[in-house]
Amino acid sequence: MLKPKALTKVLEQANTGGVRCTLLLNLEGTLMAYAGKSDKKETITAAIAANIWMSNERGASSGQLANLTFIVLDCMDGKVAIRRVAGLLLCMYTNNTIGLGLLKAKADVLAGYLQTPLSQIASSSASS
Amino acid sequence: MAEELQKYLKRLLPTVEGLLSIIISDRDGVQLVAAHDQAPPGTLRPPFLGTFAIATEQASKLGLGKNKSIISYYSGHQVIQFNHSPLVLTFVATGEANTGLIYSLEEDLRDAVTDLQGAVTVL
Repeated sequence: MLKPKALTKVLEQANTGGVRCTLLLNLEGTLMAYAGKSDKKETITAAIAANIWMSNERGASSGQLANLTFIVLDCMDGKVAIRRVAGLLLCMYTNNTIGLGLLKAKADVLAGYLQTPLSQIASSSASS
Repeated sequence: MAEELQKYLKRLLPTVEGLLSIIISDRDGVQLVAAHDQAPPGTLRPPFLGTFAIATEQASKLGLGKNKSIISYYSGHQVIQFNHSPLVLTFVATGEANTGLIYSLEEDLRDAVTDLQGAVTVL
């Protein structure tokens, strides 16, 4: 089963080099776990991130584009990266010091690490 | 102005390998000026281009200030969109295209888009 404390510690490992907060949320915008601090309440950040993801997915289907995998929102005071992992969304909330390439690399590595355990939970909850 | 801008966009298109289209549209996704080469047809239409307006408005509520741009990666493509409210600058490219180079094209187009902004903004 999933250990919430262990999951939080894994997310916390990404909070270096400009990454202020790392969140795991479902596609409905419900916050599953997070580590760090964002300027908005983390539940609000999660809801907005999921909304943007779903909006882009709907747009993608009308644009005949397949499989949305990653979104980066570049704002005046920071960036937010959103990546799909095992039916959930991984969201990284950063300041402006981190480069786009490093942010993407961090998200890819963390998602790769979480893919297997989160997939097992998703498949076991689907079968029960 | 629009014809010259379209010619300029057509000249810019082959400068980045994998870049399929450059589109300037309004918030509703209606094209003002565009240049494209084998871009997925759906990416040239208002239902696709218009989703940026919703996303950028939401992104500006994240506590990080106004949203400047959104980059979306798909299986075989990437879409980079810039907020020049009330206009949207969209680049559609293959997944292998150099994102940084495409991002830097926005600087080349900034003056032209600003002129167009002034032309469409209602005082």
